[in-house]
Amino acid sequence: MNEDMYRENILDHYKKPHHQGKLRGASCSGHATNPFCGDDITFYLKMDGNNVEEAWFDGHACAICTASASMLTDEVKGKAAAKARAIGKERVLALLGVSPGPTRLKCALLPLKAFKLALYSHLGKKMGGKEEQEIGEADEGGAEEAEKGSANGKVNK
Amino acid sequence: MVKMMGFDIEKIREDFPILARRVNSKPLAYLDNAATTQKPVAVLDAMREYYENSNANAHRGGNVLAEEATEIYENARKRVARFIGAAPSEIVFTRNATEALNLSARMCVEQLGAKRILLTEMEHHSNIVNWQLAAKGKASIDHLKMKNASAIRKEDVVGLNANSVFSFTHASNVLGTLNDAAQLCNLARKAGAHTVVDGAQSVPHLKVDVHSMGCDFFAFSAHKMLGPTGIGVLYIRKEIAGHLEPIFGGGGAIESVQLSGTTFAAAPQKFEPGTQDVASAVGLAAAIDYLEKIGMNAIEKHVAALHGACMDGLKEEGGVEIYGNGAKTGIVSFNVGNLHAHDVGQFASDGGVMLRAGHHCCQPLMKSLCVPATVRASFYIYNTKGEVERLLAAVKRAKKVLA
Repeated sequence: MNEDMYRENILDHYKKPHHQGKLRGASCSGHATNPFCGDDITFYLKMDGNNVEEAWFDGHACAICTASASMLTDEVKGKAAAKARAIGKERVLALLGVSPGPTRLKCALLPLKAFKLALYSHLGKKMGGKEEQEIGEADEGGAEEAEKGSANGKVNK
Repeated sequence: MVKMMGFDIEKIREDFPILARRVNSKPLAYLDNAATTQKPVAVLDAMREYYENSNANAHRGGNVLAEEATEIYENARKRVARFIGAAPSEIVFTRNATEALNLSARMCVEQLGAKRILLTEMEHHSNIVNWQLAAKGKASIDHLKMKNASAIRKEDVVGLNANSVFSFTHASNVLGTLNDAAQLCNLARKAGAHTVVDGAQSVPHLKVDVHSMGCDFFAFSAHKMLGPTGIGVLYIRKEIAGHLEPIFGGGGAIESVQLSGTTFAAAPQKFEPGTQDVASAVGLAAAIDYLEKIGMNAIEKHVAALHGACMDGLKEEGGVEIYGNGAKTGIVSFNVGNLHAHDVGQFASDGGVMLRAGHHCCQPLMKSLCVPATVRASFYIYNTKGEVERLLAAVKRAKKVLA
């Protein structure tokens, strides 16, 4: 972990984030915070059926977290829910092009968590128990995400 | 850097083996002393010496070694008592300041009849959550609002009576700001209220005298003053300690136990059930010896000089917001323009400079300051102006890359 983390692509997204702000007419949103450093990200999705039509984010966060959120909005835009749901830690780190240490890893993955919470809240509204279970086991981060969602009463009944 | 403020900084640094290591291929500059301090060889040696020569269970049995361990343990207690102007019977060893504050809260609510608890917005979570747990359904909690990150003002302390307890931090771990504890305790005492003071950030830096302060409870941790982790201190004024019952029960804290009930030992033993951390008590005593050998006044001057250099440098850099006034406690909390504290901390860390970036276990205070996080540098006896320069260079670098 070193200053190389602030690569050009990360700095570009940090200085000029894509899709930053509140998305009017969003179908769903997901909110995640990192109590360790106060990073706070809300993801807004506009769904077209089961496709992610628009993805925006808002909040305050460090450079790594902001860049990760910005890249993720590009990544999920236009994707089918099932494909978007499959995005995991490895993909996010590949987008960033860095391998942060344990502390900054949380910064890097916070937007993914917010995104998944948003997506699950959307899917949760119209999905049955069997599929819900699938979401819970969607990927390594997914189980936790789904649990968080259930704590908010959004996924499991 | 050679001699500074009358003490030999190079010689002091040699006493701390960890300062010789490198981080990210750079010499370690440890500026996170408000979180925990490094340990001098004298402390490590004292603990090792105890384990190698005198280890036994203090206050248990009459064998020669147990008696020796008891004497060593009680000497450590006397050393601590002398350091903060207390009587040995008023010193209770705990795991840390947090545990001491938790015990205080429960004793105040459960045994001293506190119905209203007055806290401040500048408290560490350890002096917020403990009260929330203790107060549940039994007492109400109010918080003094912070004004411009300044010290608690006595005119704001109102509504105290015999059913209240006023608990506040002697020095803020974020702002460094020092509260006039004697004045505030006096105010509370006149109203008949009890006082609990969190001294975790003050004891390492200032000569504290709990009797002249006039508090009822006072808490601090060894690890923030060159001592080991795992041991803290709870001072309980003896007029109160006599009436209090222990929160935890067990062996060693009793006079006699029948199946129908227990008669407790006198303070402080009644508050220390179970086998005690004698080695850490020894380490704390050795840390106090070390600090007093250098002199608390000299430490205060040295730290104030580093604090001043850091403040000057940050002001010169420009675009830096500084919170509070930590001249006495060596704390500088700041933010650089719109940069997130984490990013600034990262640049420092890459340069071998250990800072803390975050909410510092003070989320209500962060909210009051309207920031999610701050960067904090905190200085102690082994830090140098050269290290301050390296911190400033990291800030400059972060600005250049990120702004």
